[in-house]
Amino acid sequence: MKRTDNDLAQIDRKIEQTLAGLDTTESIETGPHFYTRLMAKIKETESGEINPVWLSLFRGRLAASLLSLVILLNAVTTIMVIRNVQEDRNEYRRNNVEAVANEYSLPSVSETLDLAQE
Amino acid sequence: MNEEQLLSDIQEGKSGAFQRLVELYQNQVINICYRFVRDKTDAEDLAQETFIEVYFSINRFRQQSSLGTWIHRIAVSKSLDLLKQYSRLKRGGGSQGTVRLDARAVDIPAPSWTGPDRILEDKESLDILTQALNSLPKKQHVALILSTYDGMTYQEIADTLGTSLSAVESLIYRARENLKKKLRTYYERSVKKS
Repeated sequence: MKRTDNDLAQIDRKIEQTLAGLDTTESIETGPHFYTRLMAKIKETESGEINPVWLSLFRGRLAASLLSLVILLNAVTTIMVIRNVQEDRNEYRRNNVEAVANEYSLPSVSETLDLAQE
Repeated sequence: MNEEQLLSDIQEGKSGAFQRLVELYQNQVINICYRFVRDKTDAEDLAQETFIEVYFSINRFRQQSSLGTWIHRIAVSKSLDLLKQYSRLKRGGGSQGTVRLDARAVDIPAPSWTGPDRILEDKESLDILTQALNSLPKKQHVALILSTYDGMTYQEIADTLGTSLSAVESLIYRARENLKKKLRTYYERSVKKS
């Protein structure tokens, strides 16, 4: 549909009106107690940001030392657990052998060791 | 009291210094934000956010620009962030009620030509204007918006944008031309529809 001169005039007018709205934006002012409310928000933000003292332990050199200590303790614990497991396993085997030896009236492991030493 | 003295008082934590700064800039800040978001409540929230950032960053302010320019930049950046959030929400919320001014904008209700004296109180016109502004390149958008605030000189706009006075004039001119083009496209389509 072809635009009429009237349409074009309407378009131009509407554009001018819309653009005029840009230049005639009213000025506003902050509400009452703006500063009080601002300070309340700042305090709220600050209290949310405060770090407990214990958190500082996890920073810098102290953090590295703590991490090393934790790794060392873990390593020692692991070694001790492995040793205990091995000792338990050996004892279990020894007990089994002793039981079989007793059952068939064979010299026990300790006696065999004594005989071997003799 | 000059700006330098005020800044040094705030950085030294002198009582009342920050309040003086807020009182000095609060109306400029809220009006800058208002021109971007066109909503008083949002503008006040943005002004508060601006001063919160000022409060927490003022010790890092290195005076590479004036204190006012720095505060204006924060206000502009906060306003643009909010506009971005709104445009994301609109995009996520479907096309209902949206006003798009790109070439494929077909989901805009045709404007009513009755009542030619209705200007920008008309929410539809305001929406169109806001949408057209938001679709401008960022620097043109900011320069044009700041130029509509009497409280800011072109030099202050240039400082805020980190550009020259002549660049600001050119940005504002191009922004107005682009805005006209976008509005013409929209209104021509609307006339076709009606």
